[in-house]
Amino acid sequence: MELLDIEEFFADSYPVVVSDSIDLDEGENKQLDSQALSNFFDTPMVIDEVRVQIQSPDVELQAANYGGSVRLKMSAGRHALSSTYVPVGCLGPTFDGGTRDSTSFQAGIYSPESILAGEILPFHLGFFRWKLPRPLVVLPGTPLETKISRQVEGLSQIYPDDTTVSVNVAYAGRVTKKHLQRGQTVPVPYVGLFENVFTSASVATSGQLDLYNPFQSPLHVQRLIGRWQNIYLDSSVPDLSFISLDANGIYGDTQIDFPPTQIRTFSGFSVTNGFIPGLSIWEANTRSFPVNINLERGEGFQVTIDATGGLPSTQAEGSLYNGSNASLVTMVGWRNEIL
Amino acid sequence: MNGKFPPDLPVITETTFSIPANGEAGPSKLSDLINQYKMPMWVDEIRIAATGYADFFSLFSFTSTRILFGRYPITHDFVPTGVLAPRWPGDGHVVIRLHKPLYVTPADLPVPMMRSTVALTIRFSLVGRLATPLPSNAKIWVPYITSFNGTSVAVGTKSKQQSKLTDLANPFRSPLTVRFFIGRRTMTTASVDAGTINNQPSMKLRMSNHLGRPVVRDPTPFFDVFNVRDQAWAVNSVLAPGGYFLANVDVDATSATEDQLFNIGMFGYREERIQWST
Repeated sequence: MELLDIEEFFADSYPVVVSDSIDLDEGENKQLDSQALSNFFDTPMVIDEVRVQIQSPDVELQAANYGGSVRLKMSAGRHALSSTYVPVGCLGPTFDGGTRDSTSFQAGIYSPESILAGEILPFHLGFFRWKLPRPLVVLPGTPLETKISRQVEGLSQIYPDDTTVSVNVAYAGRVTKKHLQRGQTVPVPYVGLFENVFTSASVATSGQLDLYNPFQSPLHVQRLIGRWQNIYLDSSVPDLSFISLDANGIYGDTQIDFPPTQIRTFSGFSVTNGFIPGLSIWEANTRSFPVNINLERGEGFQVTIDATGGLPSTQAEGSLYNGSNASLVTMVGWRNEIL
Repeated sequence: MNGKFPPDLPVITETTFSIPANGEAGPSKLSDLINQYKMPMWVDEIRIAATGYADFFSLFSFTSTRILFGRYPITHDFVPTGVLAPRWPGDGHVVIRLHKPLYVTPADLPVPMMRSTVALTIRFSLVGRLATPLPSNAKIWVPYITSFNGTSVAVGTKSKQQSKLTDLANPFRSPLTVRFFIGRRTMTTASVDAGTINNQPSMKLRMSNHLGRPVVRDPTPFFDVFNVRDQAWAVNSVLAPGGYFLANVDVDATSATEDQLFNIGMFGYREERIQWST
């Protein structure tokens, strides 16, 4: 069957948002309510965006961006939207969703999705959005299975009584009054992940099953996203601890200079001319590298990160606990599937 | 395409250079900007970043950039770096997204020159895809960025400033598709242009075109014209050859706490013929 013209089919649609909330402690895996996150209409629905809001525990962290820690594994019916649990901060390009000072409108200095509310609110709010590269068509009754997990960041060691984050996941889209036959060919978004936790200043290379096309049909890759999670723990002065994406240092006033990175295709073609600074690839505003290439089945990208030049600090002097550094690279695209 | 490479293979090239304080510099190794395949490429993004740069300050306020593309200018002489592209949070990174990709060959590269009042190390990158060679004399789209740079308005004073006819103009013989305007303002010491909303002076804009037609008819607050988030105003209109926009900016800094400065940029595309046979 021909590819469904989604905009034409959904031209007379009306907007809808389905959502569910859940609490997560460190290391937990849960599943959101499939009934709440389903197409409960009797006509097709199309999802345009996945939205995630994370409210941190009631703690006085310097910065709290859980976008690398809270992860989603999504599927729509029998179609997988992600290869594994993907950090919510790596689904789409970053955007200015928050401020350093909640009383002003200044751009986020670090952890751009987090609002550091300070005296106004006793927690951090993070907003993440994945504008799907192609809208996702969901037939009536199809559940949007969303599994959610949270890393063991180490923050529960610093604040043992106050570690639960509240996460709300919403799918925003449109519903049409028309009916759609099964068997239509539609685009289905997909995101793959390459993650490496750096325990030392070393080199990490993605594997064959990380950033590749696992499907029978070509995968159109829209972009690669590269982010760096830095967890810094200070047991002596807990307030100076933080969990952040792409930020560094006490008070988080500088962006992390993502280590030099090389990207090649599986067939050996270089995308970068050797190792170049990471922020030249994951440009610092959106952490995104536009790709726009079709990958045939089994084809993929090999990403090599050279962190031998040093890593951001993860432990305060005298602290009993040590945080971590992790690189997070995702590949976002879509393939065509039969409904 | 010689058939050896995957079509649309993404490529990124990058060069680094240092600008001394109150100096001017450009890349010393332009060969770094040639992709490893020595093939033409479509450039989708031109990126300029300052390494190790604190994010609160805007490159706009004390650096300016000129980009030449062979004999075609991409900028009208030196323009403030902050008007090259819509603003994103975390200044220190400017990304010029080319909605009409630029066709670049190894013989024809966009060459930046930058001026800065402070010492900086700059990374200049071209992000795009390999291209099928175009025939000589084929038409391509070339971006063009020009600006109207205001003069500093001292605390406690007012000022009315008007752009010159050559500031926001189309100097070419072909129509210029104007994509957007960018309006940025800064306090000369703090160099934060959006900054806090309170305690901002009045800065209002009127604009008309070369035919005398009003574009912004009444004095309108700056951030009502230029979206406060990205300081951009998408216009998507065509400016005739020799045409221009005339901007009048009224600045009332009587209640300001810092001297005020503004820049208005105009970003567009015109058609040119490729310069070198590929």
